[in-house]
Amino acid sequence: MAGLILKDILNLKKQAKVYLILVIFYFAIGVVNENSSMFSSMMTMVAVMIPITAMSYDERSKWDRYALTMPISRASIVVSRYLLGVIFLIIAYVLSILVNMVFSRLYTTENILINIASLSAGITIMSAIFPILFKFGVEKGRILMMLVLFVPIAFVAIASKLGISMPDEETIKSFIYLSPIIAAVIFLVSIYISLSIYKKKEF
Amino acid sequence: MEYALKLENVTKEYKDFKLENINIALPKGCIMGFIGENGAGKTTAIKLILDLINRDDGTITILGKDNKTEMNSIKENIGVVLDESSFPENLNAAEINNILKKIYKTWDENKFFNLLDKFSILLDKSIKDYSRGMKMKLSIAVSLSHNSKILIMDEATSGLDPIIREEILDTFLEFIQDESNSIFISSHIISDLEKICDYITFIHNGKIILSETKDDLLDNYGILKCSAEEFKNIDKSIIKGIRRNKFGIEALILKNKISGNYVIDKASIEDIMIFIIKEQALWLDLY
Repeated sequence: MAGLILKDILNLKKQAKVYLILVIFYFAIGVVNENSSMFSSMMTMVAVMIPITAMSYDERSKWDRYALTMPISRASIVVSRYLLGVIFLIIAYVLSILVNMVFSRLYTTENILINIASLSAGITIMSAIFPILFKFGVEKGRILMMLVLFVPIAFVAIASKLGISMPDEETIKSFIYLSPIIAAVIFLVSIYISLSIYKKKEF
Repeated sequence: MEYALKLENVTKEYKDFKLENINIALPKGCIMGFIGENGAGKTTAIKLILDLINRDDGTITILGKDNKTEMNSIKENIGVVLDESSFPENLNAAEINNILKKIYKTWDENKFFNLLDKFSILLDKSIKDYSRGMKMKLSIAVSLSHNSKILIMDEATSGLDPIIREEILDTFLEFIQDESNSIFISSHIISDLEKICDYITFIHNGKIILSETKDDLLDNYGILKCSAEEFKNIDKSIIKGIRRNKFGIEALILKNKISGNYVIDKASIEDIMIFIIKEQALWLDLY
């Protein structure tokens, strides 16, 4: 497992500069606007993209079938992917909190709620996408992945167009407090599905 | 006899291709060459052996262990070289060493660096800048740098120049000096296999046509050259393949079973393979 995570990080290090520039860019925007929500949600997106990028690299070099001839089980390949995602989501979360704390005028309940919501959303998005990527691969799974991401957004947009009223602020707040638990459940279910997909996969 | 690799009645069916009743037995301490055309089923068989695809029927044991239920206990002892290098492109050899150190309990850093040195592979060069030969050499170095008892290789020498192939074959011969080590290698470059193999297994259209020691093959088969007239008198049951040209007939025969005075040349493994494939094609044409 440690070997697999190390492999991904070393393989992605060329992109580290790009990620760093993104962090600085959204950090600056956050400070200027006195609002860290943009920073927090963009960092979450970057964190989700990292394991997906790692998967697409592996797919290109046909790493998985080779790795399976080493003392590595199918399960650890799956779990290491999730772990990589979680590591970067936590980094994104900690960064967002730090930004809030250092610039104390950003340290508002609203921003903190957004940090929590971003983390939960990141885990949920990752959980929704990963089984698709394990089943179809990054190349073939890309369109389906977009679909999974945009259907809920489209749904909300249509709902508001149709005049269905949005829930009030209190409901949203309590939903956000609950969201890490919901995300954790979705996460575990997703790992279970990915494991059973990957166990049967042929290379 | 102890077997390093044994396949019994292994079957795998695809929509357009079927591996049927594959039986292969590689005794410990030997090198087996696995030959056949492109598309004959070599890679599919190797994937079955490595449990990368599921078999429909049969059993496979590696070093005496079932390759499905007991695979984890022997992975340290299997060195694998696939038809393309499979390391992510941004890595270099030094990083691969650090990664594999965490993956293989028996990883031997010194051996790895020595092999890289011998193959003149630079530690800090990214894999994406490697030539095909370098990628193969890297894979081979990896396969030898842990506690491997059997090497399983798919087209490890294809697409390489003769000098590199020679180097690689020497490395294999060194590995096999230890009598508990074995090699299973597929290739369509038969001259390479003819140099080093003890056993030859020939697969064609998903079926094993023959699996024998190389010496038996070379002793038993010969190429008969005669005129069409003379050919009529020859017992048809000893003929394994025919080629006609304007001077007469060339036939692959079981040379120990022929009586009379004929011109019989040595048959190379390549001749045997080509004659048999052509013969099969001929039969297919007739039906």
